[in-house]
Amino acid sequence: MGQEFNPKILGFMCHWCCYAAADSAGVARYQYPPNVRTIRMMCTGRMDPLFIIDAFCVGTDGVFVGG
Amino acid sequence: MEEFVRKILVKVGINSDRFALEWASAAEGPRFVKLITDFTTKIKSLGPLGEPEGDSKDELLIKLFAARNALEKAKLRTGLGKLTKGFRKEGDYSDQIIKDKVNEKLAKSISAEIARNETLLRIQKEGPIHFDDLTQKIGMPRTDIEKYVAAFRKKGLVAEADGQLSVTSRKSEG
Repeated sequence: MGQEFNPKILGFMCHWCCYAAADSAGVARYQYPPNVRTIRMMCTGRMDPLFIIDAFCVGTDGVFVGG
Repeated sequence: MEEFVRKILVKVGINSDRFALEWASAAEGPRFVKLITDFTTKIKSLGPLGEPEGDSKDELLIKLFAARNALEKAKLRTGLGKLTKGFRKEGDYSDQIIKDKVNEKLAKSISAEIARNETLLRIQKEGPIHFDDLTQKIGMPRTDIEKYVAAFRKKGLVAEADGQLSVTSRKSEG
């Protein structure tokens, strides 16, 4: 390997909560790891177990659901 | 849902720490940063998917796709729906209660459904395959696998010749 392992993380985020929090963190210039690929959803209630398993099927290393 | 997903991940052979469900309100930017940083460090320490889990990547993927197919079908979805209905009725959402109920009501059908879909998937991908190899790879009781195979044969999805199982057509299970 040699290189440091950069995990692929998929983030499902609620438009009204976590996504807005991520936005405000960005505006306030907080530093956080760039490994999270964000998918915005209108509400975390839309979350389905299938999405998570599907994410692992296509090779993500971790799934973060933020409500 | 969290417990349900964790159960499936463990069944598939993935560390359930790879999945996190957290809450941060719109005003909690710093909290969000902390959650993401912690989660990323955790995943970094776990390593790439499939590596610390021990199984080979292909084996893990077969199980994952089996779980995926199982989740698309009505059996597990209605099971989860019915279970949540029960929580709403009793108004008790404590972690322990949810854990117990999922264990009691869904654990069995989760492993059965995944094994059932794995049976079909393996016959499709690795067939023609001998029945003994199939049971050994899936690691479930022989009687269960026999039952699944019999059902698939009845539907005309799977055929048997000289003890080797193979798919009859490309039609997927309805």
